Amino acid sequence: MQSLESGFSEKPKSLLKLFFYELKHDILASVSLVMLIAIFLTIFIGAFIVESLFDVMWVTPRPLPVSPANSGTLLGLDSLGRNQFHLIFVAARNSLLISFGVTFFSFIFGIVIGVISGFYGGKTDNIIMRIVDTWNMVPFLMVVIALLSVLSRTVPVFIALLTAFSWVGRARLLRASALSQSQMDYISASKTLGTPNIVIMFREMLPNLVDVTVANFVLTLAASIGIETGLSLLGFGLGWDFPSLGTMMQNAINPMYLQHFPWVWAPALVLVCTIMLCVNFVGNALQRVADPKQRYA
Amino acid sequence: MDDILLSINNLRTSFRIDGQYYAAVDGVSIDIMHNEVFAIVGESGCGKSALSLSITKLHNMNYTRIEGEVNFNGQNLLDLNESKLNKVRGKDISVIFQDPLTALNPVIRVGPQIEESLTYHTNMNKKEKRDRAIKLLSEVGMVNPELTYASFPHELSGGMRQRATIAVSLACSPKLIIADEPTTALDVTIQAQILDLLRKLQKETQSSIILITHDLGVVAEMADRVAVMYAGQIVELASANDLFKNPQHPYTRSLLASIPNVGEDLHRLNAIKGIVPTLMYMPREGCRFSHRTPWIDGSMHEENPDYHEVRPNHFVFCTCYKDFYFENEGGA
Repeated sequence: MQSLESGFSEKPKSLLKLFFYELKHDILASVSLVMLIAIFLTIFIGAFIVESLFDVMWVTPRPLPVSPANSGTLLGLDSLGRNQFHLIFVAARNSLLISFGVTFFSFIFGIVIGVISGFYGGKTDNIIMRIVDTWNMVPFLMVVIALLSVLSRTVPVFIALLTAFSWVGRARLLRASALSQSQMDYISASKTLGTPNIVIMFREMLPNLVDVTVANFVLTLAASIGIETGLSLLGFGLGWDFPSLGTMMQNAINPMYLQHFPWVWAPALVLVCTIMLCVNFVGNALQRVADPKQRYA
Repeated sequence: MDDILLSINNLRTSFRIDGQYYAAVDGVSIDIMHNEVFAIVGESGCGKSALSLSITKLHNMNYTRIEGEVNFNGQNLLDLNESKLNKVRGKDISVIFQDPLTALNPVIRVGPQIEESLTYHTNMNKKEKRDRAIKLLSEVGMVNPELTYASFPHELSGGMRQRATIAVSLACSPKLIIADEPTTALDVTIQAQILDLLRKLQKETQSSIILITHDLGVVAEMADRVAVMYAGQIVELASANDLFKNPQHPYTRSLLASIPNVGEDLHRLNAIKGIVPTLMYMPREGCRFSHRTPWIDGSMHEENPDYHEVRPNHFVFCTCYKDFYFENEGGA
């Protein structure tokens, strides 16, 4: 028995400690995390300050956008003559709010429905999954575009619409993992201990699904930014009175803007790419924390 | 007899395959006494595990049908709904699983897993539960119980994990522990340690153990009484002593004959001809072992086999035991 005990080097670490341990060994992830925190703080505080001090929608009538050098502002004026430096804070905040909201709510629904479906299996699973399949069949882009042209284009409406289609994928993912976990002995073992099903599902099985959830959470976060940006780019996103990173890039569709006025779309593009990259790097580190098998020794 | 702890009565567990139900456990009746180690042995696919899982109703009921009675404390466990069953499981009946790695939740520390059943069956507060868990861990032979308490399952070795699962199952001092091949996933030295531990704990707590195994050595070491299972039925039921000294049923005798003896010069190991028939092709009439002893005259078997008490408390299924001989022995 003595030799068995010597396998321990120290007290087991908490999850947060493990995360920092991972960060120490992964410079890319730690830099990303710092950048991400800095970007998020800047955006949210900046947007607050900008909105309380300036009128973001203030228009200086111009026939064409004005470059930073000629306008005396940091990022120049856009095609309507709005101050881009002010605009980007509000735009980024709106985009982030939407992607966070969509990801959060679609995971709430996805987890609850997926775990219940996977845990019980059989008939319950069959019924739930057929409903999910049916819902999944509805053409997402068409319905969103159609509804957005009817409904008011505000942040909550946008979140609700995207969530309504995004949870399906989460539910399927969680259901697949839950189904395999529910066959494990520790679930049976918990049942033999007299633990109620609801506790087994969400307190014992769910933590085992964290690796899938975290990885997918990050992807969904990045994807939601992408979807929002894409829809806005096509002109079906937020209205002109709700600036977002997508609407800021919208001008890039025009070849003339693409070639001659890069300051109109470049800042938003750079910001989107930076956020997506950082989110992914941090996500990878998180995934290693959640899954001991991927951890650095 | 009020000495009976658990009484299984004509239990039939069937699984659905292609829309039809096939019985994996076919009419099993046994009584488990207080304070005894009852072993169930048999080849793979004999229905041992199906039987043990039926007692706690752990089968996936989407494709399983369980008939018969499992009487425990004056109630039929099979009639209870999930929430009533939960009051019995963990408190009075607990299970030790075969593979200790999958039986422990990989993302929860060992200590809280031991406390789990205490949460639902006792009114202990946090401190009491922790004390009890640490006491259990030291009882099952952990050198540093406090450290183990805060460890994750993957930080423990196989033997330690199995000790931890035993601690989990002992938490509420159950009256009956179902050990489903508790040593199969472990190597031989650890097996011996775990068996010693189980026997020691059984003596201390006076609880009963249903020991499911295919290892006759384990049976000889542990069991008070033994049931030999074949093709979903119990073919021989006797005290461990009787069974090893005086095996009766052809199946039991074949099993014992296929254990190689040290010092015996064998070129080939003795084996039982054929395999256990799969569920779908299992003969449902007559003696189910007959087709694996084709050299035995068919008239030896009963048409509707029944139990025969060859000596007090030693039961054998079917009459073919009377004139059984091994193929290489020639006719009797």
